[in-house]
Amino acid sequence: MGVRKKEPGRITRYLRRPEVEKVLQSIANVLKYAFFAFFMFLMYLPIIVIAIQSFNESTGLIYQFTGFTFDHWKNVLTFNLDSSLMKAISTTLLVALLATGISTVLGTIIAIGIHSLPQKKRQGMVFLNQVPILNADIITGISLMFVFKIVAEVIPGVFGIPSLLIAHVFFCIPYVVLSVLPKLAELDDNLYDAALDLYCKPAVGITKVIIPAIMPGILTGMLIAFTMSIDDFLISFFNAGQVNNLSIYIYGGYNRRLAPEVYAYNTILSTVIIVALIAMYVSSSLKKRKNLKREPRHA
Amino acid sequence: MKKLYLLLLVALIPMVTFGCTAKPTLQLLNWGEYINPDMVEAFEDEYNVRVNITIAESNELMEEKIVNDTANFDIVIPSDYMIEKLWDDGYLQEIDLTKLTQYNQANFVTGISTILGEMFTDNAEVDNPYSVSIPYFWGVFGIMYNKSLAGLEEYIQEEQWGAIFEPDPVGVFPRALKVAMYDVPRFAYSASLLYAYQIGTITDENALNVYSAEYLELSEDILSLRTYDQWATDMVKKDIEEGLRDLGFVYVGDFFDTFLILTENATTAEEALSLTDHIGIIVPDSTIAFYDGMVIPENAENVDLAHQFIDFFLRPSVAYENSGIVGYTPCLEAVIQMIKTGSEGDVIRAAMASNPDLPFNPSDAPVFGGKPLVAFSDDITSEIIAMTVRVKTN
Amino acid sequence: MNIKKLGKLALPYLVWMLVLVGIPLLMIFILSFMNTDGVSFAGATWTTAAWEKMFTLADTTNLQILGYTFLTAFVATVICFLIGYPMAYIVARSPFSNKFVILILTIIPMWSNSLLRNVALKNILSESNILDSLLSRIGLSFSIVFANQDQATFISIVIGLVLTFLPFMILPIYTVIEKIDESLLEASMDLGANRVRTFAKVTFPLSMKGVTTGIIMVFLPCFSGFAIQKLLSSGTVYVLGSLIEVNYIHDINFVSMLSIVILVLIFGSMMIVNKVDKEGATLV
Repeated sequence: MGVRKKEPGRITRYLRRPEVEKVLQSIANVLKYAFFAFFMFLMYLPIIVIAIQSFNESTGLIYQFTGFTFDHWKNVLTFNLDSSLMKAISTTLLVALLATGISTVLGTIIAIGIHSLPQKKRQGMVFLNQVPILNADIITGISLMFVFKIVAEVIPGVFGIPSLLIAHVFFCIPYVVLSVLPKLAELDDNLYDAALDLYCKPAVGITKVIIPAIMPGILTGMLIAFTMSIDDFLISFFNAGQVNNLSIYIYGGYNRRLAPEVYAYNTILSTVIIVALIAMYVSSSLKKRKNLKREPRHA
Repeated sequence: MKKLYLLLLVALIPMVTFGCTAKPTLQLLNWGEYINPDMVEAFEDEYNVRVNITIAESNELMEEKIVNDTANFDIVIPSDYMIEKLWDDGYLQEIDLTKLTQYNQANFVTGISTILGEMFTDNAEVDNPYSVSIPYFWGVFGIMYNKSLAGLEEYIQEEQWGAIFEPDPVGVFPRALKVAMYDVPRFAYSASLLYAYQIGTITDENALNVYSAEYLELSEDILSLRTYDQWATDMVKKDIEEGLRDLGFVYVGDFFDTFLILTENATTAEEALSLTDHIGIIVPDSTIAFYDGMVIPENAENVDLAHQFIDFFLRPSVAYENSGIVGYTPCLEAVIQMIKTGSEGDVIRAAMASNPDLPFNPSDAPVFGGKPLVAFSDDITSEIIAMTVRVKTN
Repeated sequence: MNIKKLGKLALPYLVWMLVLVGIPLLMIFILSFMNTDGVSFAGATWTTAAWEKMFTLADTTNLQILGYTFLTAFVATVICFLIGYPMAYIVARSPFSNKFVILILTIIPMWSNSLLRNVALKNILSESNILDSLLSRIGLSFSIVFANQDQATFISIVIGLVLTFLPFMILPIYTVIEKIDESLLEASMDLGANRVRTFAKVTFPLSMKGVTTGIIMVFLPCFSGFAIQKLLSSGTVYVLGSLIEVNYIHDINFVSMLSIVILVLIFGSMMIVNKVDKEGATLV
């Protein structure tokens, strides 16, 4: 079937008039950003509720706002916490940051390796990679615990921060790999060949050619890894030995009465990150604008 | 990258300050928010030691920690049936009662003696259950309700377990009742058999601790009599307080927890009672009782320190302070008296504990009908779980 | 091709995964055909009892749960795609100077503890909730009323899953759309295709890899999780994840069988997707 060029009708012609098109364009823009903002707001609703709870006089009554108080914030900001909450928070942050760093580096290297395998082997590796994402957390947690129990026969001190960290690295890597692989698939393999032809060492070829090209995938993977680590409960529970992370603390305390400082800590963490991001955004766009002004335009 | 290192450093500081200490450390495995941190600190100061608290949110998860031996604990505080199971499986050691200066069996409330009297009945080796565990807190199960629905209180008093299990009575309430069930299969099973005993379907008063195919079917039929709007544990008390549910089957301690939350800012007894006059609790004549006890695992590393810890928490003054943050009933008669009379100046808790309508000390009832649960085998437990899965799904 | 030589980078991962995934997986597979006491094999016998519990017509409870789990996960994934794709597209095509910052903003809610978040969601979806309590002070009210309990349960679960896992759809789709060469789109327009046609014939096919990753990342946790479903249904329904959670201490064989079922079902469906859509071939 050939494409027949239709003569535009009256309505189409009207819509194509530049001034009309401009109005339509701006309406579409507003709708677009309203759509985006609306769902962003919905995703933030739970966080807003947690923030409200952090100012609630009675945090035992989750459905009622009985009065406004700064006490929970004060307790967190002045480190006036019972030490087990403080310890749980620092364990969580330490493990999440370390696990994210390690799994991002390893996951990227592994993804490059997997990408370079012949098809059959690649499929096998991707299959294995998917298993920890797929398995129920309990299964992963128990499986790891048994492996660590064997390790503990040789290295007695393994249960605690070390086992917790290794477990987190273990379940974070697959997410990094899964995020990086599609970017690698888009990558033109000839780029790397060209780099080696220009007498780059393989390591240089990877860091100077491949990594920059797949950077968005790496950053995505890093974000997801951090997200999975900071919030994990079950895998941590089985592999933490005598250490509590924040999830273990919250799940344990929720049955009785949760320390209201948890809400405040949560809100502070979210706020600090959001403010830092906005500051980053503003400074980077200011820089860009400056650079644009300085650079002479090519005619 | 630099920022990342800085963050790491910030995270590390507390780790280092908490981690580096040469003092002996008592390892405690406990429920979350189930001990007064001030009292832990007092213990640390008095004995110049450190206490590290690891948290588990259920008896089963405590068992996992002990059985899998991923860490050694000196003190664990599980509930009755789990204590029995851990002892039978050889994971606990005997407590040397002679090392406890504060221990005297007569100091415990009668409810505790009744419950411990039912423990280890089929194990001749244990002649004194107190040498396996020292009671920490205890209580019974009851029916918590919201008073906003007229006639509900009388209905529950009349029907007892029937209020939870029977379909809505015709023409009594203007709308359908919203009922919450406790989301632990074993508790649902045992409560349904208590109901069967109450209405005379079965005659075995110990049915709550008996398993048979016949009882399982009976329990399934009872649990299918009505639909439950909620199967939950910790949310039930919050939802009833808020009026999202009318009634539910809860630990009595959940009610007192809610009482303490509602009266956080109250200054007088009258104020406390008026802030809580929309919720109530009724304990059926025969019910499930429980206690949480301090035990010493077989592989504990600081056995002497563990004994000192138990002894410390048996001091009435310490136990009194400790009960201030937990709604559950203390096990020492002296402590209950301190709370009831308000001798330490706490008028709110005095109003709560001395109110004759509230079962703060369930053994005050004319006849104490609380029975502890015994541990069922894994096979039986999974049959009961499968039964509640069927009830919810079909 | 030189890049093929980099395959050795994956070798240590293969060893690591075989130890930490392969061996436990094999164990789980064996356990699902046995009758063991916990994980000790002493006195255990071979049996298909665990499998019969799932696949029997005498009692379809577990099959119904499987169906319900699939339905909620499927609906949530579709909705995530319908919302997440436009969101990723809007950011990728927006004039913002640092789009990645906007992306991070979508995922930050997930850095809050999931129990707190789910309780907050349950709070909002309850008839009387804290927003209502606050708004009532200024004479407003907010509450969502459902027609009946089954509807409330299903919708609440789907809302919970969508709001939680939406970022996992947005992120991968964004990373591929953002890199689509603008000149391709211009070429398409120059050749007379309108915007819709350009999108359908150029942008969308080129973003398929991100879409597949997104679907996998959303569907998997929706299918195997339990916490959101449990809380938002007030514990009135079971999903596969909650069956695992409630049984794992007392019946490891049944739980092993469930894990194998989840793995087989998901890999099965991914294989089918793969056969149909060659574009996704890099993922499986």
